[in-house]
Amino acid sequence: MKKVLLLVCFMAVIFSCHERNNIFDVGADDFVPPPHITQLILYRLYYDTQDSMLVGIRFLLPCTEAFERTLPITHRLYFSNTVMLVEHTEEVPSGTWAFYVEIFGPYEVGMYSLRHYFGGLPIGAGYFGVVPGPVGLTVEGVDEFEYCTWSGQDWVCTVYY
Amino acid sequence: MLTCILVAVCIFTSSDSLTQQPETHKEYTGQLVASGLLSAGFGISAAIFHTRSNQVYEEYQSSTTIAQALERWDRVRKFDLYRNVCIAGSVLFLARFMYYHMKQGDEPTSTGFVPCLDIQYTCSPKISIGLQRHL
Repeated sequence: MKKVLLLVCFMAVIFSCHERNNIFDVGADDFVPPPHITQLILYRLYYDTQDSMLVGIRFLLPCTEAFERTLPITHRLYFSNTVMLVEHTEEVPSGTWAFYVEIFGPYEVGMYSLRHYFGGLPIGAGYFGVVPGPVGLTVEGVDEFEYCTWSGQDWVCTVYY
Repeated sequence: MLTCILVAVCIFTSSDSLTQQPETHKEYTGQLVASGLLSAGFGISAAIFHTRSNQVYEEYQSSTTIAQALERWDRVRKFDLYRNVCIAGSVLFLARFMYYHMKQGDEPTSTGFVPCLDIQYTCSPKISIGLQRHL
């Protein structure tokens, strides 16, 4: 009988071995929060070669500090703060201070917001406006960026000041 | 709730045995059956809760938001608690079952008369060997 009791107790202990190991679980011992993303820096504008339409934007996202752990970050692009156009989740490796995200349109004239989430919790956001430019559409208030067009094999980028 | 049921069952079965007269073969059988059934019932419940807990734990591991992870972890804890209570109940009634099983084994099986050595101390001690009815 003693053996049976010991076996049952052992099984009870074994069965109780659920660990809190989800990276989104704030109660887990190894939980590490991501750094905040405070800025939205325009890095590149991609244009269609034929009709000079703005087809994509690359954003540089600097963080307040380096990522202590590889974490999934979700980006959501909103148009006029109401309509979610696209959602993209990516794994940001540990040690990253800044990373970029490319979002391809097509874009139209208006205000956009790019919001960043970790596990459904907002960790940063940035706003930008798309306005008519000298050649097609451009982004408002940006002085320096790369203008990229498709050459047939690769993107050819020119730096603009 | 399970704890209340467990306690209620314990009180019921204990009071049953306390109020009754000296146990007989038939009463042990009743205790054996009751303990065995309760132990098996708690064991099956523990297995069900364990399976459910594992399912929720898998959902917890695949959570993609903080809210989901916390809510699912709470459910894992809840099912773990139910399972542990059921395991405790199962062990308790298993022990009770084993106790009555061994007690039943100690009882005479075929006759009420057993050989005994009866030592009587009187003015002149004497030893008599014979059969004595077991009370």
